[in-house]
Amino acid sequence: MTSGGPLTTALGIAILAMLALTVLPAQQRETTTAVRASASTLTPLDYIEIQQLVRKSAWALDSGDNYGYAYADLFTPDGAFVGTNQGTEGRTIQGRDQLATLARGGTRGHTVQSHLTMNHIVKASGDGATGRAYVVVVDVGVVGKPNKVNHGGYYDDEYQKTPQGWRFKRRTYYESKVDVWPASAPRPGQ
Amino acid sequence: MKSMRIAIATAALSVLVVGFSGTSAQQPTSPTPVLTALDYLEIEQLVYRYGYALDTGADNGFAYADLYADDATFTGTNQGPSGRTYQGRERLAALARGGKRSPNFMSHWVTNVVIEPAPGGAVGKTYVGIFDIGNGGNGAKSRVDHGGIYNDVYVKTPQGWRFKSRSFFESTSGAPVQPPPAMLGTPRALSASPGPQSPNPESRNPNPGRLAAEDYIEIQQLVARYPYALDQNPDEGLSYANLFTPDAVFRQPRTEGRQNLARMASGAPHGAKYARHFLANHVIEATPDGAVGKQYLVAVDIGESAQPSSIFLGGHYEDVYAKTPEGWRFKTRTFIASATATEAK
Repeated sequence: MTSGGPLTTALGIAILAMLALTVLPAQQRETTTAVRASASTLTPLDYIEIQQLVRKSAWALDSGDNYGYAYADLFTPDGAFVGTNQGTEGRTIQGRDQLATLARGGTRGHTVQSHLTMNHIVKASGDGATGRAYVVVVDVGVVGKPNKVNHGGYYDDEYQKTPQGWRFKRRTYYESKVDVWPASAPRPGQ
Repeated sequence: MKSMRIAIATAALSVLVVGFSGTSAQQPTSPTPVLTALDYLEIEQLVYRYGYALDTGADNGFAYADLYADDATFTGTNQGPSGRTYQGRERLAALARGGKRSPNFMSHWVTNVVIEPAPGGAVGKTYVGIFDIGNGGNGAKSRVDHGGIYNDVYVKTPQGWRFKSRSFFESTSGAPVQPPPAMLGTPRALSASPGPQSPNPESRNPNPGRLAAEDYIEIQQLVARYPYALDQNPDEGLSYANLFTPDAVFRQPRTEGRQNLARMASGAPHGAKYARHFLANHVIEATPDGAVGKQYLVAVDIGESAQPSSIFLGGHYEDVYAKTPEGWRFKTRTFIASATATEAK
């Protein structure tokens, strides 16, 4: 037992180390690989064009420009938007006319600025690129209402390069939701 | 005689080099100039510097004024019944040192920057969210003050890209959807610029102390990954810690070493769909050792289950970046809460 103790401990440490290598750093390795892959397959202009696409989507959505088609035309012909916060099951909107209808719904116009997108990450993927961007939706200048943060979350995107440039193949919106609030972290209003 | 011929040849070459540099720095003369990746990135940097220059009133307002070309204008369409236009370095500086200003005051969050080539240079448009962050947000009622858009015209000068004109339009809602003339053209590929198959010579880094387009992009991506690693934290802080060099220092609280950084990240609220740290105005500058940068932070507690949203804190990060074999990483990162207690310097 006395000689088996350290051996068992060493074996345990080795197994833990192997587990750590296979489980925890998997995401780390994936991140590193993705960054390397992106560096070799996406040029600076690809990054810039994808950044511009994401930024234009906020403009197109808030303005409802071109009767909503400015927004719809940022998607591939079979592109889809998924609003996971719409209804209990979420809602998928696919097709140019449907996306245009979405973009002209609600309060829209050239003087409406509501979707502030930030923190845009882009990675090369097998047949294009993927990305994520935070969005905070603010109410500013709404007649009769105070300026405030309305809601927010992030977009999960799939991009595809078309002859017309980069477009959304799929965009999924997730509303922000916290899972873990450590006891030591101050609560809102504290 | 030989040395004289060499001297003449050198002088002629110098004239050629100077002539070429001068030409490249002049205003583009083609109707629709080609914008390189670095042009896009440098215009974006100009746009992001605007927030700092205006909110801090640095250099007695002249840091702001010097973002404009000599004859450039700023128009505040929300000032008075018919708007107000400022032109000239002195007037623009006076504008920038008026109002609430302080070295660490952060107010103008600029996002959604869209840039397109245009005759004589480029045009752009951006959103601006103007937050009233009361001394860091802690203990004070921070709020969304107002917001709107900037409509810009940029010009390339010998000193770099500058505003030729900038106009602010306040956001208001309720306008019906109509098809007024678009402020910018329809989305299109950047194919007019050198494409993926024709590497942009400017994107390589011929000069130490100057960043290549790839460096700007990688540093942008490093900073953009930061909120995800902190807010979503899928791996007990490992992704967060790996954004830093092994000897990195984060302040405040002062935290050193990846293990401690991972622990610090795990002490913050997180979740697979959590979004709290919103970063904007990312300015990046080359240094002899790598690069430094800064960006605005507003931490928003998005209301869940019909609860109202609130601003937790605001301020800015100041960073030192180091290029490692794994890519760009934070060497130091310091958070400075927004404060209005001191006067503009």
